[in-house]
Amino acid sequence: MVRRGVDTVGELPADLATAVRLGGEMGRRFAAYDWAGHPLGPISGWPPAYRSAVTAALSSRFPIVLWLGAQDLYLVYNDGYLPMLGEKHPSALGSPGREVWWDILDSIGPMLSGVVETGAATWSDDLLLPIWTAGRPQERYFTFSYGPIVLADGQVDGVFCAVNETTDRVLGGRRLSILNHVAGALMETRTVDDAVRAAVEVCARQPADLPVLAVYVDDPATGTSRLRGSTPEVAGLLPATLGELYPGPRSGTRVLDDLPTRLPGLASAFPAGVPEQALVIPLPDPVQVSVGGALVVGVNPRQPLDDQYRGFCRLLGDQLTAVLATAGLYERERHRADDLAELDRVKTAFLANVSHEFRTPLTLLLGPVQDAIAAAADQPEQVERLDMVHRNALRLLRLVNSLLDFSRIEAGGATANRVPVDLGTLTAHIASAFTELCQRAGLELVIRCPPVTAEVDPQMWETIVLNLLSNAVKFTFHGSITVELTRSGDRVRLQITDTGAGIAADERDRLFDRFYRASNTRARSVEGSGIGLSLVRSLVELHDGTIELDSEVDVGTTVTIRLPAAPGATPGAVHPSGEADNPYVTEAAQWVQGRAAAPAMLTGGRPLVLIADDNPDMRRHLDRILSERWETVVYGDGKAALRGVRAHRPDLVVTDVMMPGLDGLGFAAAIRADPRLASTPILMLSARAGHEAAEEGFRHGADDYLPKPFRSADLVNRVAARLMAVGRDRVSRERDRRATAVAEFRAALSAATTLEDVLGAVLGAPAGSLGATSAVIGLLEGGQEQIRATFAGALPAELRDRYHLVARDAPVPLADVVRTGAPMTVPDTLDLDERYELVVRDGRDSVRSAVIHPLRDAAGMVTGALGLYWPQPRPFEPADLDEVTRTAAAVSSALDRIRVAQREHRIATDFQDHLLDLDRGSTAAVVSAVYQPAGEAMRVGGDWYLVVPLDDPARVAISVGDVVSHGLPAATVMSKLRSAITAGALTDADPPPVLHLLERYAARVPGALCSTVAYAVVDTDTRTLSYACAGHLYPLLVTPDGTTRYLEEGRWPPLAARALGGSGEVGYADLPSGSLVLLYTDGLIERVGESLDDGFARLERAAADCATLPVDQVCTTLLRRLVPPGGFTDDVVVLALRPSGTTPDTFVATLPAVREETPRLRHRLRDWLTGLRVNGELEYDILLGTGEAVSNAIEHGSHLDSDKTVTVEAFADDERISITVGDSGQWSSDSSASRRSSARGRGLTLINGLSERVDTVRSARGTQVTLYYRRDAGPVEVAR
Amino acid sequence: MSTASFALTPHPAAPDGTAVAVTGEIDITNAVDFVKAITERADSRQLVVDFSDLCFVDSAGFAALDDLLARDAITIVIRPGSRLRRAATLMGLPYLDELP
Repeated sequence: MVRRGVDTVGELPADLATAVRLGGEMGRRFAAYDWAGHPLGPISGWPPAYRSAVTAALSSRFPIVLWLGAQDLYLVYNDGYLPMLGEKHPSALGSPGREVWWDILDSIGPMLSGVVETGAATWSDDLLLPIWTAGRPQERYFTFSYGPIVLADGQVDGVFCAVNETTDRVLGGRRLSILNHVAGALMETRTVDDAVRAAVEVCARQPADLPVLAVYVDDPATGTSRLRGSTPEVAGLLPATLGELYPGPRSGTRVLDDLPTRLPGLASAFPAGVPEQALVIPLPDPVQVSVGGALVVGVNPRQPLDDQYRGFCRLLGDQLTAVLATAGLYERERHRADDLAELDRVKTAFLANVSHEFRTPLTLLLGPVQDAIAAAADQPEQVERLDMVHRNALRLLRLVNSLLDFSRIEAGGATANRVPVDLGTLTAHIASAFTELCQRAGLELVIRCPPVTAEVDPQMWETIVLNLLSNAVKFTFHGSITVELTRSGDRVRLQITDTGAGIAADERDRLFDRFYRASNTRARSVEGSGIGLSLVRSLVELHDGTIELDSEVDVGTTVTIRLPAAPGATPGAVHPSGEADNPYVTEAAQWVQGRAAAPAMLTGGRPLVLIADDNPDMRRHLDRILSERWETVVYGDGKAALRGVRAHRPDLVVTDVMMPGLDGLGFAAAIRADPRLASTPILMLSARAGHEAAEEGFRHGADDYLPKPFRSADLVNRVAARLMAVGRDRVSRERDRRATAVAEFRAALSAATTLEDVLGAVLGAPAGSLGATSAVIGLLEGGQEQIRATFAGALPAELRDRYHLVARDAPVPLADVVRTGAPMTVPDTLDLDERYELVVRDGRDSVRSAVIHPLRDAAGMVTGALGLYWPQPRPFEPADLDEVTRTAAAVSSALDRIRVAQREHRIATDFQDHLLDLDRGSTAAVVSAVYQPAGEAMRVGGDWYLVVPLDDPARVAISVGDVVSHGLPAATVMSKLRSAITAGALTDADPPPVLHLLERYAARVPGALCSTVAYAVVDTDTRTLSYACAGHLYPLLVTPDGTTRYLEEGRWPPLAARALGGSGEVGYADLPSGSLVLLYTDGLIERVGESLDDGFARLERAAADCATLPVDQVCTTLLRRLVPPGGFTDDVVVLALRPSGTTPDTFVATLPAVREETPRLRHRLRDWLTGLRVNGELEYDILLGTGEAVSNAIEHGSHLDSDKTVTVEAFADDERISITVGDSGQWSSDSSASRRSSARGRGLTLINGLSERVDTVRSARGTQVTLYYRRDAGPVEVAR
Repeated sequence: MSTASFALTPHPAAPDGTAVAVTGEIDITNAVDFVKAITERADSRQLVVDFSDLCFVDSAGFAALDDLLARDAITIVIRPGSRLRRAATLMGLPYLDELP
């Protein structure tokens, strides 16, 4: 519209000339405008009111538009107004208002004419004006006022408008409110369906931001994602599976552009404006046990799909992800509980069936035996044998009856037939059956049972008392057993107290569990089914009673039973079963009888056999059989028998496995350990049948193994054969020695808790690893396509680096063994096939011979391989390979065990890691954070860390916080608070608005009460830190010289607990380059029985030592240094941040993962090294090594993803320069595919070859490579 | 300066133009340009290239030199005392101490 440049600044009145000069672009345009050719006429003729309005507008930075002339309202506006006009500028200047703002004239037309007609100003707050931009209306909000421009004559001749666009604030507020509502609705949901329904229901009420919303959930059965819910407008339009909406892989958020084409019928569902784009946000499955899926959000065509809109949708996705994970875990727990209940029921039914089946034959056995005893009265030997049969059949019957009782109770089928009895008399009667027995055992039996009336089932009561008494006898070797009945109020109390071995505290709680057997070795017998106490408890509970057990090791045990008394009832007569055939007493009597029956003297001549068995019947039986051919000595337990072996030097030992005190295995091992006895052959007997039991026996040194029951002739033959072989059995000694070594190896393996431990055990056991000097375990991962290798022993770092990740089809022996499942022996690597040329050359200095054996899981599938390496060539015998086969099997089972043990812990950590993804997009600082769940518990927690990169690249917000409780509910609350902080920080990052927002938000979230938060904003331009702590522990600042300072200002009350006080102010601190900021949760420093100040001091000391460590190492070092003995008792989060920047001694930089950044970084690093006066050669070596590490991090660690960052932290002291290069990813490509001639292969050579030392740490957080260079590095000449 | 750059100048010790000296930096971002520049200059005869005063060369640069060597396009000179000597030796790069 500029027609000619007549009106120059020089010709304007002074006030307008000044305004034009201050007015920027619009000043120039206004001045250059041909007002003379305009209906308003030349400026010189304008009324003073126009001039002052124009002056005010042009000189203001606030958006102002003037509508001049009452009739046509011609527009004049300033620079601030340009964003509102968009493409309407510059033609809008001087144009009639109705032509410019035709699109919103319906809304503003009446307001404008109202002002012109009445002179009354208008005020509009956040008014929606659908301004057309790029051919379509956009939803935009404005706060503005129209005021009159009044001429000298009082007439209104224009409108003055100050306007502010509030679109971002209105949309932001609205979206935050949606997120709050969704969070609230999801809070109580427990299943996937509920969660989807609740989310859809809330979102359906928000058509402005979420015109279309659909949730697809993965269906493992079909491998597809199925539609589980959608907003009503698109119900019936969306395909049933996600694959039909768009094919292809699901990775990252995707934008679908042609939504109406993909969903025919969509246009008619949205007559007012059809959503043309949709976001597909993956809902990952973080814990593998729950569900993943995708969230589809249709984009409102009237809102631009900008970062804010995307961020909102992503937060919505995060919420759904968290709740789906919760739902998945919850459903899994429910299924597990159901399964356990079913298993229990099946077990009980089985017991009942089996017990019934046993009773019939036993009863049929007992009658004839009694007849036989009567008939054989004149044959004492025969009677003795038959007595033994009778006694043991009775014992079996008792066990079966107990089992049957027990299963009846478990199945809920037993009812106590309760009658009023004099419980005192009944109890005394039952207990007195043990009188004679106790006398023989040297125990005092005290019975104090005055008459008390109670209602009990007499037979059940008898079972209770007999069980408890027989237990007392079993574990008591001297002292007394007291049975005491008392009445107190309306309860009857029975206490049975012994002075026996007692039970350790950690076993006490489990004693009443069925089949649980205390591992007490001090007992008269190890026989028992493990159901006695459990049965007693069930019976007591049937009587509405309680049972308690109080015990102290080596002091004694008291069992207390309380029952309701029945004082009014008249007790009837009771008839307890006669003590003569009381099987409990008979059985207990067996334990007491002749504990060791060593012979008085031995007649020489015949070979001597030593017999050790705790069961007197069995002992007599063995003695009878063996004494016919050989001399015998007989012992009742392992310890006595060992003394016997030392005293008598028997030619052969026959021992039972299960014995009180020292058992048969320990006994055998003790014989083998004594060089004077080691050659004694041992024949082991055990009731435990099966290959494994025999294996265990052999491992402990047995020469032969005979499972019970056995035929007498078998035993005699075995003993005879063994004795004949004694002379030529010297070889077996060697095998014994070997077996011991293998046993030690197994023990070390079974103590291993990590892959490194396993390798340590392998290398530490020359018997199992043939004396190898280094070893590797390679395990398949990543969809089985690659092998991750862990090394131990004497191997150079470069070799470990080069082969830590190997493709399954790589030309590497380890990979071939995994692929073919066939073991490989390599007597000399130089003779290997040409195919392996590279790996042979790379390893030549440390590996010249090898055995590589596949590792298989329980199902026989190859899961990886174990490699053993030697630095010299060596031959291998077939027996060697057998040895390695056994080692590999043991390693496999150790790995299985470790996998299972770590799995639950890992689920918790993975879940938390997912919830706590660390955004490393900011280049303002290097940040690392760790989460450590308490102990080994499978538990997610309420601790969080958070990093929010801000729009200003020099600023970044960080937070650490703690929700009061634990478990999934806390994790859910945590996740919500974390989302709210993110939303707050992105809106206005300063601490007060963020904490105010969080307080308001927390008040609506159940469970958020009293959560504590530390929040800080780092600004690397001003080198300051602003922070606030809501009830949270002080941030710690560490400067490069190791000075520490807690930041104690900026105190706020814990969330939603305003009454608890706090200043509500912001704390400020200088943050010099190179310094370290630490945020942490209280679990890091709190210890039971210690003041918090001790914890603060401890952290301060540890942190001071971290002043020149890279942040990732700071986190791990603090966790390691501050862990209390026995592990953390609370969840712990540590976040460490070091701002980008340099000092003479430190260099910190974060760069986007793109190749172009490498030269830029190099130049900055060179400047720093120049300041350190490093000589040219060392400077080049450092730049080269660091550059290669950075290139690797950009390419392999970050996959050239410019949203990821690579960090560099360098520290110099007088002796060394250390440089840590970190990335946040994992290598996914084959590290061994690198050839020395390829760039990456050269890179590793340069990294390792020119530095003093290289450390590589790979973790879930990424890869950290630290290079160390000596500053005085002389000319370390590389051989040419 | 935020990108890598190098310069080729006629070697003062070889006025006939059969030798050049390289200065500046060669890295992953400009290694290809370097190969091109040398190839243009070599013009089917073998060129002697003195790297002694080159400030920086990375693994991609060494790979580029291997390419040129494989094509018999250059002879490499790295004088004793040059900062590049150790890395070049480690890379197994064949070089001369002096101009031939």
